[in-house]
Amino acid sequence: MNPTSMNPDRELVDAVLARRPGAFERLVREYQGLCWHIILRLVRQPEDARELCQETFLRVHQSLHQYRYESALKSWIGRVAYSIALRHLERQRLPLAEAASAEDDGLGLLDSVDDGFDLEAAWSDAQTRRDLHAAIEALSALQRSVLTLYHLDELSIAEIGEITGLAANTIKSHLFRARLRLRERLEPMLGAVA
Amino acid sequence: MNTSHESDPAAFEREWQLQERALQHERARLDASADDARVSRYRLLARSLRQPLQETLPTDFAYRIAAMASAREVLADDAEQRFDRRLLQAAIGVFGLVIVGVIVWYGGDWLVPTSATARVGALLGNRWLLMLTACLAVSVMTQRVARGLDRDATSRG
Repeated sequence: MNPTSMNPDRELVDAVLARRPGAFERLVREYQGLCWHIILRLVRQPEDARELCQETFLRVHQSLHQYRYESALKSWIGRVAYSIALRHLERQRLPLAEAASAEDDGLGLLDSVDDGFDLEAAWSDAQTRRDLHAAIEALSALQRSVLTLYHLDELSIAEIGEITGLAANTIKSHLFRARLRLRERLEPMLGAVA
Repeated sequence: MNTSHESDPAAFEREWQLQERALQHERARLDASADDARVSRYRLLARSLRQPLQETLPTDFAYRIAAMASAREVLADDAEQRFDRRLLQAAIGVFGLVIVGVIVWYGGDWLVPTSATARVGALLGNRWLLMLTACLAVSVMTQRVARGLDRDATSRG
């Protein structure tokens, strides 16, 4: 194979497996942000998240020879992080997702919006930003995680599916309901800003 | 799960499109004044969701993890080498015992007729003496192999 046309994932994996100096550190640096987002959003406690992140990369190092390039390396590593965080939640008996309730529907909210909303004025209000942050934290672990992967890491629904093992429609439904719920919580805050 | 898109798929699709449009506009940093109120609200959410998380990993995280992984690799290699050495010693021992067995059972028949003197022939024909000699040879051989492997490991380490 022409080395210049080599898949960057393969190049990095080969370098790690060949124990080239600095290769594994490069891999960790490349994917630590993604793993951190997945794990911290699921378990919420930074100390636990740091330990689980460490466990994730040691597991990746140990089982990298089993990676078969069937998905992107990013998705494979993300899946390791997700399953480690999930096991932690199970051990701590913490729920991954809340049971859907009638309020999740949000249909009543869809058409009840006033005109004349100033985005920049709302964003410049520190209290609104804090309230939004608190509203995101109050979502279920799964919704927080899916929202972060979609908005912050800019992963596609298909990529999130590879990491979480959830069907595309399920992910879409979580995104939809989480954003609707956040908007629902946003309305009273915006009344105060306006 | 009975969600809005199951009870009213058209409403779900409209709202979903608003959410997605807000995300695209926010990513592209388009002027917000052209957006309608609902898209603007979702843009506020999208902006908040795009903010880096307050808690972060330590700056030397990658370096520390790589060092830990490397230390584990060295330990695993040592364990593997020790196992290999023991396996090789055991294989040599078994091989030696097989040779002893063969010599004990067939040695007398092979060596007596070809021996130059009857005395040597008689000595070689004694199975117990042959067994003792072969055992001594196996013992010396395995000790030498073990010493050689230890020397190799020390020079590598």
